[in-house]
Amino acid sequence: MNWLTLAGSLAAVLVTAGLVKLLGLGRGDALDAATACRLAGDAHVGHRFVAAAIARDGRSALVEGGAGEIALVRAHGDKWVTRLLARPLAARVEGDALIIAPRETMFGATTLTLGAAEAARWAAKLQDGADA
Amino acid sequence: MPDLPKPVDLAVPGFIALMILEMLFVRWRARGAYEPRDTLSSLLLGTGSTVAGALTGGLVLLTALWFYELRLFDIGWAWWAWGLCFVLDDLAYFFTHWFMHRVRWGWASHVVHHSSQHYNLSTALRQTWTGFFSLVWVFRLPLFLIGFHPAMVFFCAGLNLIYQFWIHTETIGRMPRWFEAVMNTPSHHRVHHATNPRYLDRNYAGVFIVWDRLFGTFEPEHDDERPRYGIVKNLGSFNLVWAAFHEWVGIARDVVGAKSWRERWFYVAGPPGWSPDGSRDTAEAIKARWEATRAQPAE
Repeated sequence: MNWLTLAGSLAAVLVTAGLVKLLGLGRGDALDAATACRLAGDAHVGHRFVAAAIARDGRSALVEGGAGEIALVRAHGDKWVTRLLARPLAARVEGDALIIAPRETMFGATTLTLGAAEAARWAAKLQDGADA
Repeated sequence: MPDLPKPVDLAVPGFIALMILEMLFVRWRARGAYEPRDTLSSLLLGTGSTVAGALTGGLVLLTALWFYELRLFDIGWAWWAWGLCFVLDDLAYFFTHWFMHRVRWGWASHVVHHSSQHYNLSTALRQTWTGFFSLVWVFRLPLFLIGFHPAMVFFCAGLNLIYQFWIHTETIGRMPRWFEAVMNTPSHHRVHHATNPRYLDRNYAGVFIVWDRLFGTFEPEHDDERPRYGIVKNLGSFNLVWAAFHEWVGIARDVVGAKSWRERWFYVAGPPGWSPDGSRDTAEAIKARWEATRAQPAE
């Protein structure tokens, strides 16, 4: 491999990825409660999630299981990632939004615009609740 | 050392052309999926893998030539040697691939390839940067010891890699029955990339699916269970460096925090997800929990 080949490869990579964007591929859908519960249940085998709070942009949600466990569902491109949340978890409310950050390298914080009352309710659950 | 062409280098323009065709098919037929940042990650990881391979290839070649010097037979360059080499190299790949999934040291390298939640032709090019370090290349050493020339083995390995490119797609349903019975196909390999408990750690084949049928690791794709791609704990980040090294970081953290040499050994050589108290999930644990859930009567 020489520098010219490497430069050519990088150019081809950028053009190909650019074409995906140009074609309008990879636009994600908005979540609904049933989908959020199903996604969390699929990812965390043995758990059954029954209730969900969906962020207003439809790109993230908190879901609660029958045994009181809570999972985060968050958009990742046009797909979804989920995490079972270990409690107590630092969560803060800013206006209408709940901001949470699972203790995990590179996962980052998630802001869920739930409305002030709902955000405060979930923050209390996450901060005070013991692990289910 | 015979100067054979490098099949993968020659195939690159074909890879790009097929990817573009697949994208157009996805756009117009809405079958399969692409996402710009995911594609960019996959292709940059592939480019990085090529660079890493170029940096370490000399050492692999020297080791191969050293083993070849100790060969048991002078197989030479007869036509039948090429066919036999291709088949045995594919068998070696099967065991390499098994190691990469069942032993965390191998998984730390191979997880890169599975870390996309998409399954398209760009996923095929999402390759490791740490293959040399993970020692997966040692599984080919017996071929040199038997007496296959390193140039022949590397040529066959290149053809194997090219074969595996086209099976990374959702745009092809199933191939004819005879083909599905013998060869690895998009359907078989979708199963391999899926995280559904039923599909976890199945279908390790490179070219010939017969190895999985022979060694009991075959699982067909079920029409009523669509594969969910990615890894058990999807990264949630498009960061290339994290994708390439996150499991190595995990191993390092676990080994540093381990309480005994037994723990250290299993954190490195145990199955991915092993933990001393069973608080993390191995593929076997997930499968067992899934089986238990299935056995429960519906509410």
